[in-house]
Formats: sequence, structure tokens, C-alpha cells
Amino acid sequence: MPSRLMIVDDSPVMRAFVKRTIAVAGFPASEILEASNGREALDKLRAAAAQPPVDLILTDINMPVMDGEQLISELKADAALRSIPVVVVSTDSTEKRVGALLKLGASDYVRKPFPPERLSEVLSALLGPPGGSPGGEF
Amino acid sequence: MAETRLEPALMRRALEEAALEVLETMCFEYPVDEAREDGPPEGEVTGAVARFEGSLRGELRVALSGGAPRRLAAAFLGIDEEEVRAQDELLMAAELANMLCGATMSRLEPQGRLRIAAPEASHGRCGCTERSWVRFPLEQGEMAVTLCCEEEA
Repeated sequence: MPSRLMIVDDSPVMRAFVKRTIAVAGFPASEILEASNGREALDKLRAAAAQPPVDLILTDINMPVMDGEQLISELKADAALRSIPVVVVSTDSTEKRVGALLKLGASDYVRKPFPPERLSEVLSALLGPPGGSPGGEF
Repeated sequence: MAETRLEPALMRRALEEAALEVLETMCFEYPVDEAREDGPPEGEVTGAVARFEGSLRGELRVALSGGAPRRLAAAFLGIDEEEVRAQDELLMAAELANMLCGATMSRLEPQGRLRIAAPEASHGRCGCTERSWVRFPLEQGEMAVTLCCEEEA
């Protein structure tokens, strides 16, 4: 079943890279929403509340306006959004930071830089194995 | 900036490992020769600086010269080199600085705290002529990196 995903990152090239990795790995995404910070992500998720829910959120940590840590806190405090798994994709990967984010409610952590297989592995664990045809080649 | 307790050889090794990891995993690019330590690249470059604070503070600079900015941006975005815009090269350099900074600092201070500010990218001549740069020859052009850090007061 196609998934509905959201990528939150202030870098448009990183959003493009993650999108491509998802497609190449063969995850059938019916829609990929994008946001450049936590505030924009929350606004889009709440505006879309009547639509099919997002199955998974991939978020950076260091972002302007609202960072990833605050985004996770807001998601976990919102009854309508708290069940959405959140995967952190960030360069900020010191052990303390990763531990704090997992404690806050993140489902998993992908440290940048990452090989495409690492993201694929995390998505498989949370969404099930990819069922679609790979969308291209690296 | 003030001297840090970190040994220059340790910093260079962390920089080199981080650069190879980023080039290989995110850009599918491999240096064509061994990295060498030298002054900054001459001429026009596409560069970016990532400033950080936490257990250590300082900055990491990356400079891409020759055909490297276009080639790396194309590889990262999965598009043909002809499709790469000048803006893509700048965004790529900024993301490269961000990833290099995170990957380097996680090697130097795995238990520490780190916060990286949004990197700034630009085209122009390379500054920081007094610093030592680690330069990676690529199939098209070159990537050069320098790190300057001090302990947080």
C-alpha cells in the first residue's frame, strides 16, 4: 500500500536527495509532502488533518523558525499526530543528542552522511519492505 | 581563534575520513589521488562555511574548484550536469559543509555537544590563506577543506 510521507529539512537539495533515495529504494509513496522547518510541517499536517494521515515523518534537527526537537515535542503533545513515526535525519549525531531525541519520541535516527541502504533499512522497519518497482538508479 | 587541545594530526585524520565518507556515500565520488595538505585553492571557487558551537566551537570551510561543484551537485541531485543551476551548486556546497562538519565533529567529540549554524555559501576567491587546507583531487576539479576550532569557554 502506498505511503504518505513528509520530509522536513531547510536544505532543498537534501529534501531532493531523500526523495530520490525513497524512490530508488522502491517505496511506493502516494505523496511526499515537504516542509523547510518544524512550523511549516505542523501547519501542513494540521491543515491536512481531514485527509489520509501521514505514515512517517523524516526530519532534520537544526532548522530555522522551529527545529526538529521542538517539532517532535509538538507532535507528541498533539493527540491527532502523536502516533506518526518520526525519523531524525541529521548531521547532529553526538551520542547525547541521539539519546535525547529517541527519549523525546523519535522512532529512529539516520546520521548524515548516510548510504541509501541505511535509509531504506529504517523505512522498511517502520513501513514494511518496499513493494514497488525501484524508481531509478543512483 | 585560540589553539585547541586537539592535535593537528588528529584533526586532519578526522577531516579526511569525514570527507571520504561524504564524497562516497552522498555524491558517489572517489578522489583520484591521495589528499594533500597545502594552502587554499587558487582562483574562483564555490565555497561554504559551517560554524559550530558546543563542546568545541569554530568553523569548517569547504571550497570546490574546477568542474567539482557542478559534478557533485549533479551526483547529489541525480540529474545531468547540464541541468545543474548556479543556485544548485551553492546549495550543494552549503549541505556539503554541513555534513562534513557533523561527520568531522562526531569523530573528534563523539560524546560532546554540537550545534551547527545554517552554512553560508558563495562564489569567489578563497579566503583563510593562513590556514592549512586538506585538498582532495577529484576526477573533475578539487574539493578542499579546512577546520578551525577552539574549546568552548
